[in-house]
Amino acid sequence: MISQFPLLAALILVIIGFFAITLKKNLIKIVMGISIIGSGVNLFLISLGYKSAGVAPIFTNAPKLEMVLPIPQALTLTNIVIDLALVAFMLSLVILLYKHYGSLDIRNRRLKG
Amino acid sequence: MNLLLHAPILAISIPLLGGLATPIITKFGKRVRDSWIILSLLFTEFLVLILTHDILSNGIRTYTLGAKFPTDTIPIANFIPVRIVLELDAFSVFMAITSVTIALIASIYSLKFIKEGTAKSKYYTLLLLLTAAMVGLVFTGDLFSMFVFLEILSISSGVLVAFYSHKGEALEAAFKYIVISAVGALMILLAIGLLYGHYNLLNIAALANVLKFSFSDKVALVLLIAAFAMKCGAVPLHMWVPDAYGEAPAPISAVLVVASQAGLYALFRISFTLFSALPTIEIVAWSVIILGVLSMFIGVIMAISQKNIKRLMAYHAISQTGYMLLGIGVGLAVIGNINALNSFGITAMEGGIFHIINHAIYKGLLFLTAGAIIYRVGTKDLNKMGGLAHKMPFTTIFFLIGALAITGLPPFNGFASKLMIYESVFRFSPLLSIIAMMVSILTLASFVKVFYSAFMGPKLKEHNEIREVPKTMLIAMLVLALLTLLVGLFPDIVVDNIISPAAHALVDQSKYIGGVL
Amino acid sequence: MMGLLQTGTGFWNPLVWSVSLFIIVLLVYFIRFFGEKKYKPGTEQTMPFCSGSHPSELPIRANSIYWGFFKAMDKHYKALNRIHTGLLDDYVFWFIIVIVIMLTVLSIGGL
Repeated sequence: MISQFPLLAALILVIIGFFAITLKKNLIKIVMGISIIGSGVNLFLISLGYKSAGVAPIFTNAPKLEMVLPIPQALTLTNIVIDLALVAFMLSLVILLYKHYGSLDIRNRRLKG
Repeated sequence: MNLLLHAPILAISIPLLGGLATPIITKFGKRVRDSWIILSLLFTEFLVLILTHDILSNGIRTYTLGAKFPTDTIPIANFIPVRIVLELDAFSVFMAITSVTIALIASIYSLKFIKEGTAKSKYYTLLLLLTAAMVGLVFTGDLFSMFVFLEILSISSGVLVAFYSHKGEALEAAFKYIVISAVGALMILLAIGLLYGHYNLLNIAALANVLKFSFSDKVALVLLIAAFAMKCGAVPLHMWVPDAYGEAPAPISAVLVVASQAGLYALFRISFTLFSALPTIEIVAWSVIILGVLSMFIGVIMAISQKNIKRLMAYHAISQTGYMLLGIGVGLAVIGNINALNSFGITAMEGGIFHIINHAIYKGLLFLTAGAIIYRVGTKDLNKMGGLAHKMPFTTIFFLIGALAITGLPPFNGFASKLMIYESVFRFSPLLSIIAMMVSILTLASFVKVFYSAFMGPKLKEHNEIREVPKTMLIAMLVLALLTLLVGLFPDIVVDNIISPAAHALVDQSKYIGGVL
Repeated sequence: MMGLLQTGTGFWNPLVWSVSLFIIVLLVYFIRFFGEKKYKPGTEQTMPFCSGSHPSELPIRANSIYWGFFKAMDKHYKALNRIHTGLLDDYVFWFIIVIVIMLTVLSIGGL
């Protein structure tokens, strides 16, 4: 059960992120929720590649032990960069929205129906 | 260099290079930039066309990135493909033709639609990035690169939705669009992680070979279907569609339609190629059918009551996506039963796939005419327009052709695909076919409303100085109207040569696996 | 023959349809040729018909088209518009609802 703990933590992070997006009414809190979901998915991906008593997957001067799987690390690095671009774009939209409407509340919307 | 051998990766990298080089080319002048854009898109279209010709005669083509020779997919020492493999079958090149054609026509239209001095070169950069992402999404044979291309598509189209950043509504629509896309894409990555953790494979063909349908695979399937259904705008996940399509510039709305169909492509690729041997595939198929019927019905009911011309057309895009989900969902439901599949299943899938290209053509035409109206009149509100047929005769004719095509009247192309869907769905379940026909009637009603209030009636005093739109915009609309008429008059040429191989390629899982392994 | 689309239970030939439409339009023009050719310009014969209301109330705006339909379905449209709130929270909420419903159906159906 202890070895499943990172997967459980990743699931809890994703649920917390969804709570933030669905229940909060402030734009910046919604962006934070997306970032938390991203962290949860990254943690889930990294912990998939774990082998007990494994070393980092680097070839130079490697000890003769088993290495953890390198592919999830590549997936996670790509995802970190993609989430960076998404959060940067969302925050710039938040800045422009605040300049237009003067408030960060999502109930202050014009498009409905 | 053998162009055909390297055409798959060139079709992704030429728009990418062209788009990212556009700000530098702008320094040489506006005409050089415009010809650079049109030449890049024309070259991509040429590459996709020669690929189509090759795949329709020779079968599946693969391209391995980073290998010594591009078609050896499995390295000698292993038994699984370890590099990123682009796998092109008939359905992929069909979607690629649709995407690149509509992107080309939209960029010809935006030569005059987007005014100078409003970051026009960055607009073209994003449009070419969007084309590269759409082509990359349909060409790839690898789950993770599908996710990466989906994210590139979301971010570049999100920035384009926020193009009119001096208006608050466009920013709000772009914020909603990007949050929804981000949530969907992160759930897709969670599902890919679940599949990878179980089988240690990311390639779609290799995964289809070893899939064992345990509970975590079913969870991954549900997450993937829900996230891709949200990307293509199925009810009840549709609420971002009117906001994003309504506030984007008109040529971008036409390209967003095709970008949403790329999400539809991914949905069907995963349901058919990965999960078609699932024992409870009927439950998945009925979920897709119910999503389709809900989209058709609620889309058109909300569309009749809109006052904003682009929101109305966006709700119709949701409704027509329901037709595609219905047609292909019926095909998915009978995939285990070989008699039913041969008698009406393949026809239903052909109808659904034919509807994809028809919808891209006539919805693109309708959005471009709405853009022409907004360009001259200056407002999107239907209550303030009237009597435009006196001043803009060509736009009226193109709008009439688009409206007749979307409701499914002969001899335009909407009728051919809707007839195939009605007849085959009727043999599956008559109630669904009757709902589809009622939705068609309501579509006609709402377009009669738009045509009457915008174009018919006496001349208004406030529209005195309105002339016809510039010639490049008229040429773009004319090409789409001619395509509507031609595909409608010769449907058998399109169906037998392009659509039928696509439907058979989707059903035949073993040929897709055999392309790589 | 060219233009014939088979749909499994029937067929559709747009070229034959267009040719027959052209012939029927010619027939209609031929019958119309025998009608009354004279009209009095400037009287009510040249005004558009507006079901009894005076032509100066034109143009009819988009708000009042199909008013009977919208008045009859007013209760349903109010309910639909209450669901389409425009709040970002509800968009993601529907996503979670669809995932939960599909998971329940798939796990119960798979047993």
